[in-house]
Amino acid sequence: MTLARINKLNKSYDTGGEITHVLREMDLSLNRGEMVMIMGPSGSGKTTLLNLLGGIDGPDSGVLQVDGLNLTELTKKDLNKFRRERVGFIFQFYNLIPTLTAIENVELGLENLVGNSKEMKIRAKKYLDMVGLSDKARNYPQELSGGQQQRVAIARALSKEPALILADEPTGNLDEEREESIMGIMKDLQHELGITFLIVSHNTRLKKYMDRTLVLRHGTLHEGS
Amino acid sequence: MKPITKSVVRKLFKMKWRVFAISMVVSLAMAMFIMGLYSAVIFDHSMDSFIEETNFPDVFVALSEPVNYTDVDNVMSNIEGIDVYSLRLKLDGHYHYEDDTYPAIIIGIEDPKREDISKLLRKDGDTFSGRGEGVVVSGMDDIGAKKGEVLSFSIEGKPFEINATGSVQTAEYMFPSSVPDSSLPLPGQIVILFMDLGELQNITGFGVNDILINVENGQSDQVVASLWDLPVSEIIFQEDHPSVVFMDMGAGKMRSMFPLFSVIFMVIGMISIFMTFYRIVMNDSRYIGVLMSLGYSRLKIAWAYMTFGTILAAIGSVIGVIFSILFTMGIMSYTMSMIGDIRVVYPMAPMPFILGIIFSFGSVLISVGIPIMVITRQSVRQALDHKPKTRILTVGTAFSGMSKTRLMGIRNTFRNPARTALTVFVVGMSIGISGSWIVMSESAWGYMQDQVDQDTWDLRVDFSSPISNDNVTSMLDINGIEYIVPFAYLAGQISGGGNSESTFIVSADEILKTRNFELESGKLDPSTSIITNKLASELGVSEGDSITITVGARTLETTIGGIVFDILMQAVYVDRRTASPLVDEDMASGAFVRLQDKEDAEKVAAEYEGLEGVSKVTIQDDIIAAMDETFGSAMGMLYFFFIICLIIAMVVAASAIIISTMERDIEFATLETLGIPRSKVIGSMLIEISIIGVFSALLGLPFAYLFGRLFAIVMEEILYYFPIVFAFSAMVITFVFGFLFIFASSVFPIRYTKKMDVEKTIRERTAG
Repeated sequence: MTLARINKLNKSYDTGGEITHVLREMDLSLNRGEMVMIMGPSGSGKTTLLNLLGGIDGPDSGVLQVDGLNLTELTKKDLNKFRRERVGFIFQFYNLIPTLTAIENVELGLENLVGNSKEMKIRAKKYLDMVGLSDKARNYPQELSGGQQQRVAIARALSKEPALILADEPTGNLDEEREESIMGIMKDLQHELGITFLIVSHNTRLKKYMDRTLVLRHGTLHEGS
Repeated sequence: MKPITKSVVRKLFKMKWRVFAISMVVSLAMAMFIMGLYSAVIFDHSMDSFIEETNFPDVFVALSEPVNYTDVDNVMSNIEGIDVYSLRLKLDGHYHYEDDTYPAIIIGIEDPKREDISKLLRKDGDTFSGRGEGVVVSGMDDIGAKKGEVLSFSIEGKPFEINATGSVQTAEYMFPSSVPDSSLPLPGQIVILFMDLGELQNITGFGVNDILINVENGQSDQVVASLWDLPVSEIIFQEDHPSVVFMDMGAGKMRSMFPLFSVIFMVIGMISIFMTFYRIVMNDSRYIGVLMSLGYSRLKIAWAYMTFGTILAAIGSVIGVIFSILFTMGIMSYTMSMIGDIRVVYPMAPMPFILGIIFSFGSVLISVGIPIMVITRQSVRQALDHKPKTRILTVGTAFSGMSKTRLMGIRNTFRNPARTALTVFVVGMSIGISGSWIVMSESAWGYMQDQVDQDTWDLRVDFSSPISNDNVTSMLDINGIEYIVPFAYLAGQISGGGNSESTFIVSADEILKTRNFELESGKLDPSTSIITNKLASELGVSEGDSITITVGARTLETTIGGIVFDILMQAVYVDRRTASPLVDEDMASGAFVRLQDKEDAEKVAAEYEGLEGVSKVTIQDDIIAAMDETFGSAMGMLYFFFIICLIIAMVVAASAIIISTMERDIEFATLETLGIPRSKVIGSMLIEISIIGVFSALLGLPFAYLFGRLFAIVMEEILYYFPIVFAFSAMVITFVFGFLFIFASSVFPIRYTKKMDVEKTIRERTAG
């Protein structure tokens, strides 16, 4: 069953008076509960694709549907609701809020999503446990290592249990052992909750967890080896 | 342009909002500075031009009693050094309109078209040409004193009617005061009528009692010395005339107050610029290190960054010049309309603008230069190793059950305590300046009311010629009187401490009964002399010092027994025996009357006004009403500055808050990606701004008191003394308005986050 559908999608940027076509007539279909990795050289448009699917950027033309919603037709408010309820982002540079502790950062993603604060706390704690950071719950981001911050960011996205998780180099700052553990958790959630993962990475070790690997080159996606 | 300079300039364009906010602070401070200096120049110039245009007399002479015209003319025509003179009959009277009676000054003149001395400037209609006609000083239209009306007057109970052919302006009555000899312009409602001298003489049977003189080549002193053949009661030189004194005061106030305000604002601007620029340069430390490693000299690097400051100062100066012109025009038209509606002359005076621009450039370049000097003093290695970091100090984990966005708002306020403290300090200072206007106005107003309340009399009766003390009592004693204190009231010169000043001498045996004097120093002993503090300060004398009082040809040598606070009068109080060298001990020129029931004041005043020999009756409540009117007008101006200063406070707050918002753009972008509702994001920002607003407004209170005191000291030098009292109402107004304006500044960061491109922010801020 298809969760996201991209058809003839175009996206370009004006870079100092010059138009750069990042995505050209791109097609992509993601199934529910699928884990897909996108690889490609720097500047090929991987992050742009994540941003489009997450509704934080809009295409120039083409079809962009996620979970039954046509993102190009949604208002700003609806897009906000869409991000809150259906999408989880894992950023390459974590983007944690420095004035909130690890658990509060996770809870932040759950506000207006989970019924009450008690439930919110329980769920946030559960996911921090999952990523192995229960002992760092009350630490602020600046008191955590890069890898630990990465795991908080992952917990924040996973705890929402959204339909789609968009991850930009989610294991970039993790050692191999941690990487395996995190990817194991993601795989479990993929199967248990039917979450779809779209992961952008250069890390070939992640291929083994993927259902599909695609390569983004010259603005279009190709099946990877 | 060199690459290094280009780089800095590009940075500047990227920070357009920050640059705009800082430029606004600089420009407003500069506008205040220029407005102060330029307004003073305009004040002086407008007054000079008005004095010149109207041929304002060099000397005003009042006679103690009317004298035959020919006798005075004979004396005057034999005095050397006189250019021109004019003999007039000037009397206090009453103007009757509908059912009310108003005080009036009725002046008989020979030629209303005369231009060589005290020219009447036609404002509306024509000058009078004969009997039964007259012109009034403009501004009393609301009580019917205007062109085309038949006006009813009376002098000592003798009624007459005058057809008003027009209204005029005269420098002599720029501030017609309804309060006798007040040193402040308390307008009240008083009608000044110019009419035919012969006709007024016919009505009253008097000769002349008022002389205007223009002297040749500054020979005022010689001319005045030759006047003693006449019964002179008062001589006022042009520079001591109330119109000139008040214009000088106004100019002095502008010259001193506004530049002082602007210096404080410039300090605030400098701190704001320093805060911003310190951060920019610190963040660029590694880049500066690279430039140093490429062989760029410290001077070249510093120069490139100074370009930033220069552009900032230039933008600020351009906006500042525009603001200063607008502010000056606003304040001048308001002030001039309030004090006399004279024509405002804008002279070509570049100096205030040049000084303002130098002031602005100097301040900006100093605050830009300091952080550059700090960084460029580092070694190449230190600069290269420098990692700009955001020091985040969060406040515990309290309130962790609170909404996370609200929690962010609270913790964001304290994430960088030093910066928050500095922001609260500068914003608090700005609110303090605003509040100081309220503190000053409320203190001055309260003090003036206290001063008036010190008078225990309800009516002051002035006689047209001196009456014996016994007759005063029998004449004024009617039912319901608590006391009658006859007094002698003289105008003269006081000398002491090497200086000389015009003064009024109030002599009465029971002078202490008429007023609850507030002693500044010494003791209340009318057998010596009690003088008002403003007069003592002008002369530079204190208790125990010797003074000489001269009235006409008579002189009194005495010592100062006490100095009293008095905002209204430049006066000397003595008992009758002490004043006997100056005036006959048994004769009174007026009386203070206290009624058993104050409510009867109007009725008793009307009764007294009908008595023969009474020229004027002043009701104490009318003085209070006049003061209310003066302060009512002044309040508008005070609140104008209050609001202007609050706008500056708002800009300072917006500038500080927008800097921290821009630094946190990635956090706001993250909140967007998490789908946090916009209302919550705004709520978080409002919490932060509210906390800063509350702390700043609280800090603004002591600053308001401090600045109020500082400005009161300046006011004392140029105008009058009043003690600063921080009334609860002033505190509430300062706090509430201070907070509201700072809260309103949230519109800028909110607008910024609303317009923020989330995708671009994440892409640019997280580019590996």
